[in-house]
Amino acid sequence: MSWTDHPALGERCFSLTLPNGLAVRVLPKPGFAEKFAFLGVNFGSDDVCFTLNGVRHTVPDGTAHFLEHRMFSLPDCDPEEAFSRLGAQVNAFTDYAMTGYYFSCTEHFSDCLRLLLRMVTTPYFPRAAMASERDVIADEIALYADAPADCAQERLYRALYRRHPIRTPITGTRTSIRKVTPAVLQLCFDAFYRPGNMALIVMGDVDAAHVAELARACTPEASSAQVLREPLPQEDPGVFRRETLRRAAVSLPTFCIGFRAEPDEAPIRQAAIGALAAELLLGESSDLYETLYGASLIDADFSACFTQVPGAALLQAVGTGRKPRAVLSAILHGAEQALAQGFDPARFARLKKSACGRLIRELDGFESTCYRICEAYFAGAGCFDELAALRAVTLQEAETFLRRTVIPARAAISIVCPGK
Amino acid sequence: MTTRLELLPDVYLTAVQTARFKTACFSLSFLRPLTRQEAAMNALLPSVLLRGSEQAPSIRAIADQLDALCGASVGALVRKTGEIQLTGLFADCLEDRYAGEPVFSHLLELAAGLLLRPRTQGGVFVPQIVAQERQKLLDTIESTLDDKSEYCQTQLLRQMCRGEAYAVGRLGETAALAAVDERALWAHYRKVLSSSRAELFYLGSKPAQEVAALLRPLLAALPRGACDPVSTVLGPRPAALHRACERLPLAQSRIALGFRTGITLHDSRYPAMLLCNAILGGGEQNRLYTVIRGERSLCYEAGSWYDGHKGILCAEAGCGFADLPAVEAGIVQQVRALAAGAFSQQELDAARAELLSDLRTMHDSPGRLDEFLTGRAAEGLPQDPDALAEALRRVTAEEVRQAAAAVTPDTVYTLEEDA
Repeated sequence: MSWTDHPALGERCFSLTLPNGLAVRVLPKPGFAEKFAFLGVNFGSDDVCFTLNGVRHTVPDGTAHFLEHRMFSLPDCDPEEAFSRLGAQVNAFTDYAMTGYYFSCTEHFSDCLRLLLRMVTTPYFPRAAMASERDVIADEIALYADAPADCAQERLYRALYRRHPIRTPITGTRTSIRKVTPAVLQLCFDAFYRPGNMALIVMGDVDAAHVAELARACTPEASSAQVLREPLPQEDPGVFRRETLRRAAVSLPTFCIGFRAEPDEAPIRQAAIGALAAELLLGESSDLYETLYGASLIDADFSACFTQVPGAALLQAVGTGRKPRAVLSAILHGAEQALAQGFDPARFARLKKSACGRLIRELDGFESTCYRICEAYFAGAGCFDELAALRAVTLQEAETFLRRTVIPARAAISIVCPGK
Repeated sequence: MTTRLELLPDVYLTAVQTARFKTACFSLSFLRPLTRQEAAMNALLPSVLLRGSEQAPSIRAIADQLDALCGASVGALVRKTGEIQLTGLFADCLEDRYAGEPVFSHLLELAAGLLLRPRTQGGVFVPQIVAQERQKLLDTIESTLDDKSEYCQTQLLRQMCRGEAYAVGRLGETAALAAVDERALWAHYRKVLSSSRAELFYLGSKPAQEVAALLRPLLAALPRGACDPVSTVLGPRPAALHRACERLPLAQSRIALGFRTGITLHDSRYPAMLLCNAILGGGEQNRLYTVIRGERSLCYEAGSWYDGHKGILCAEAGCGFADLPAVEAGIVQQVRALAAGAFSQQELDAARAELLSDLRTMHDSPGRLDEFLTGRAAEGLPQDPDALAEALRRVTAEEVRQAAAAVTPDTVYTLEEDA
């Protein structure tokens, strides 16, 4: 158990790993009404192939997401109703690498935390509930299919990667979820919903020692399960497809442009380099942004960022506009030109100052901060290592990243355009 | 601590002093009557202003200054509050004590320059900039189609509120933009500056008087004249249920039901209506979620919202085409059940606890607080969230039943899968 002070950030962080392996982090926020708890499970939609106690398993696509839905069920109560009675708001999400369960409340924090911990550590998968859950998830899949930005994003991953599981939608497909059974859910629960594979992050006006006590009392003993994740498949050097196009009921083309980067063994460091490289090349103070905006190829909603999950990393640019392919050409050409000339060191220094300022400001958001701390923990990093990583990035590192990544062989574009 | 000051005639500052956040927030909104003729111009104005000022004449110059101010932001603010449209700018930045240098005062100077000393050509806005931003706004208005839930609700309100200002969308109507050029927009800009009540919002560690002292010289150039009045008119009671539908190539159909309640923010029944909506579809564990999704598995998304400015309640869901009638019947059935008093004390307690919790956590969210306080100020209502909390605590089950009995179906709009 330890406290770490971060005076420059105005934060104190309490860290503890329980004997059962559960990591606990608490950021006390005196004076705030909201109390927020986030329980992250290091299990996402990409984890479809693994070995449990020496036996290899492949589970259907969408299993992690299906399991997230079914965890909102206890033998003796409906957890959502129970949270509601406590005046709390509860929710969950599944992404490629993580499943997160969280609640926000102003009163009855201890009861809410007990309920969250019990809900996420109690397997209860009655067969009778499976068919209706499949119907609800099928409606969720249809919802995303009609959302052009989500659709373009999923199809971009499918274009960039030939083998990595990121190419499969988080929800799975209508076909794959038919194969999810209570036994499959139990298998994944046994393999991944172990305290040692989870992290509990709490923010709010709470007592850290009390949170630790509750976590200790409400989570099971350490699991003896031996789990090995399958090594991710080796990708070809080039992208799988350069372009993917889908027609839908939209007003203007929505596009996602991706440049596949080589995943780094130090993800926090790579995320810092990637984020600054994206700003340098495509941020609002860049030549390229001015060119693209001035030519009406992009609008104010255009954005560029760096994204990563284990085994996959990419710089991506998303937006809407009439000529998405011209945006890709302009980015490739603009990157080549800018790298030949070299970026302005004074501007790079400003961008770093800006990125650090924004990162500190984001600590005002409980949900996003808890998620980031959990993500950093699963990546083997500390609560606020991102800030130090950002400060350490050099212009040369950002330029090297762009030189290696923003090239035609690593580029793909996904377009969702109007039409039937 | 919340303080309200009048800085200039009809220019009000609501300042919330708190040191809990790392971000300081500011917004400036001009209050305009929501009309078909000017709504799109009001939406266009901030985008044109954000293209540059005399001191920061381009997007790049603005971005450079914001980066130097530790990643501060300035953005367009366009809101629809009942039949009042708010147009202006928002700005936020790292609190000075975390930045280790004065940031907020420089950010205000930048924002005031954008607002009051825009880049001009021949005494009006730059023609090319106006043409570009007008096209982008047209595209944005039309892109409502891309979000099927929002599109369905927008179409519903267009049908339901034909002839009322409320039918006009937040960003206005595309047809009204056709004749807008740099001269017309400039004339409108001058009118907005001189003839609109302005609501300013600040949240941060500085005392209200210090913020006011920073703002007064920056706003000295703001022309002031008689302000155009703003208000929201309660719509008519529906005579009969109106239906409209649209076929589109979709993976999923959608349905939106519009109801009139006749109950607005000014009505003593408003807190009861908030609770009624929370039980129906606005709360965490609501009827639409538990019955239509949970028990009957008819959809993934179902919910409702209530706009107390106009007294309209809307329920919305996405489902398979074949399930549309069942979802519609389910929604109407739940409204009737509430009007018959068929809800438990537990449901009422949970809805009340959630709304009270929402009001408490609003103090933790600068954006929500800005919207609440500015929205109440626009309606000329007291700004105290605690008074609303107290009123919510006093609402009885019978009052919720009576509020539900006032919920009258007006229009059903469906987006249907075009197989």
